[in-house]
Amino acid sequence: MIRIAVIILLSILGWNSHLEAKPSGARIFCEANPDSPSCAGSALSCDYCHAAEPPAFNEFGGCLSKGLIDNSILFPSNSDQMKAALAHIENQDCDNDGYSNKLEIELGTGPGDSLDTPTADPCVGHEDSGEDSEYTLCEYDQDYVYKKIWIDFCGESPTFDEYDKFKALSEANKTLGIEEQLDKCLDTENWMGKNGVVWEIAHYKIRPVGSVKLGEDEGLVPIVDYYDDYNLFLYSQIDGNDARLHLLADYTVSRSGGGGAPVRYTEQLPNRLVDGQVMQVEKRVGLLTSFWNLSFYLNYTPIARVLVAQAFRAYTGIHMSKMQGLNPPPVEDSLYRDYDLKGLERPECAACHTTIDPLTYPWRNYNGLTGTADVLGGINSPGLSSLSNLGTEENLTPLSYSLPRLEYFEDRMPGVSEMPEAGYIMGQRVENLYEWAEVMANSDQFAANTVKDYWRVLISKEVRSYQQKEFQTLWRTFKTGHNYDVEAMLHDLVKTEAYGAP
Amino acid sequence: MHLKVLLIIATMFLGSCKKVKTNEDSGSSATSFDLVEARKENLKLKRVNQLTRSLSKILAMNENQLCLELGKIPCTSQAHKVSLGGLAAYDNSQYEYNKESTITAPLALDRLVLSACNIRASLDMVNPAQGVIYKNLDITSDGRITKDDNFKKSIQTLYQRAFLRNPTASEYTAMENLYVDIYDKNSIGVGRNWAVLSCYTVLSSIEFIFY
Repeated sequence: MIRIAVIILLSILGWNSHLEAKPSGARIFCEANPDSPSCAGSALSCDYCHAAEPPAFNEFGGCLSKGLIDNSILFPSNSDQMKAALAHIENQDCDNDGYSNKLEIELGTGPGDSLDTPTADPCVGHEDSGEDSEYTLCEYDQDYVYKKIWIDFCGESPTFDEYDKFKALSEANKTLGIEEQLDKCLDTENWMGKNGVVWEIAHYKIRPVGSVKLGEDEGLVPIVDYYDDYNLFLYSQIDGNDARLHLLADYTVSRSGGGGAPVRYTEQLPNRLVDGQVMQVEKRVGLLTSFWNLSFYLNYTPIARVLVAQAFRAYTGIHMSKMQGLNPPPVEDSLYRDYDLKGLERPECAACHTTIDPLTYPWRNYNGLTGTADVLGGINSPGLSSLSNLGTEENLTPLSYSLPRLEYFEDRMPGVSEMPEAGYIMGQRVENLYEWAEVMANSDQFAANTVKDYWRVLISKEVRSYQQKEFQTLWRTFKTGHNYDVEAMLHDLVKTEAYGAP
Repeated sequence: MHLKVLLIIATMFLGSCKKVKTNEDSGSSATSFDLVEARKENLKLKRVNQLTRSLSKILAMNENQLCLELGKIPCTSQAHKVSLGGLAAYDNSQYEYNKESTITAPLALDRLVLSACNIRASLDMVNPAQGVIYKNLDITSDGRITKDDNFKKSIQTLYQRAFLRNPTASEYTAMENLYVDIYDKNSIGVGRNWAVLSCYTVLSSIEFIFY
């Protein structure tokens, strides 16, 4: 009775506000648990603690808030306080799934989601039955890996003779044989060709639309050639190239071969318009500013929210629609405001948009299709000062860096052109889009997402709890050891138990 | 129905797990060939590109020869692409693989493999000396096969090309029994029908479609 009275009193006094939805909560949680797979190379979403409609809690959030109240402490404002708060409930099993909160945090499953439980290694307790098996169950099996590499990377099985020859090798020579075969398969059309394995990985990043395809495989309304985007992505994933190139390059890449001939991707000398891209060379930022990306995801809008959300999902695995990755900078620093008059200063909107909108500011001067009709019609619209200097950044040019871009919207959204170009990404201030892309490309999330792209294709749709250690090691090595060389990473991936133990 | 059951079972078992002791002389095994549980649950269904390339290699056929619906629509690149685990990115905005196999996957696989085997068997029957799998089969005037060394050799070739191993003794027997079953159903063209269905049996099996 006394406890209920205290809770009511605290609510009246405003303490309850300390327990409600806090976008900063995810960040503080991850600072307290940096090695949790839910945080490392990933981003915690609000549903880790909240029900579908925050600020309502799920079972774990409810436990955490009750623990705070029971121990008369405020919502943690730093990692030490978060650790202390979590310690009060670490041995509890808030979602009643049979696993303690502590264990679920360590293994990366949801302590507030009874359906999201750790997966035990099926090989724990496995005893060799003594049967004469074709494969060595629960251990790395080179014969199994050899066949698997053929199918995964080359797209077909070896011949009987090739497999027989491999099986006769010594263990050391089998190790070499696997390396050699992988290298051969990495150069096949099945792996790196048009519509090959790597190309298909790029689908969810580029999201093509066949009806508007220009050039090769022309659609009904040929407008844009997004194969340029695939070519650049492919180039960044092969031949020892840096995977970050597809977010940072100022050049395009051409493709040749295929249909049985060796496939080659060749870097092109940047040359505005001639190379198929309208963006000024010095303002190009990889796929982010490609013809396709700007025309499809920025389109006619003044603020690049859709484009940014898609880029985060595609290149970091962070889903903003699931309220992941919220890390708002101080409003006085970010100059956050409701520039396009959408009512975003309301608290329920600002909770997310204080993070999302500063992400879009570096796109301030990157034009999608705004003003295209006026340019084509020769109309002197706002921002389009003269057709004679079309293409310079002083003028409004579609798909280009264009300083007066937001002036075009001023009559409908007074004040929108006051939006700054400096923004924030992942808690860091950036002055322009190239710096923005650098932060993204150097992030743990980018490295983890790149490795996960291949993990999904080669091992399993999701990283299982008992595979987390290998996965975490792999993406960290991808950053620091492989120097973002995907092929080097794949050589290590096929050596994992997750890949090679049947 | 048969294949659907196999697909479900195959989610739990890893094909080709028992080592076979090869009799070098006959190319057969003395032991039976059972399935063993895949402990790591990392068994994968071959996707459409892998199926297409593998079938092309095993049957020595061009990808477009394998299967055409209505005689003109390629099964693997168009008609059954999504059913067989492929993506329809450009036309249907399907940018990521289905989390589960589609309900039409077994049907599509049946049609693909049956078509490809049908063509391979026909080609080998027309030109026995150049046969890829059913080479120099001795077909009698009423369509029966003589169970000679070439008959046995064709079973061995089929297993080697599809499974990268020799058939076991029981598998040889099963293939011979298949011939008898087909003959009992319909004796007309039994040799060719056996060639088609022995190929189909192997290339639609758990051991082939999962890896």
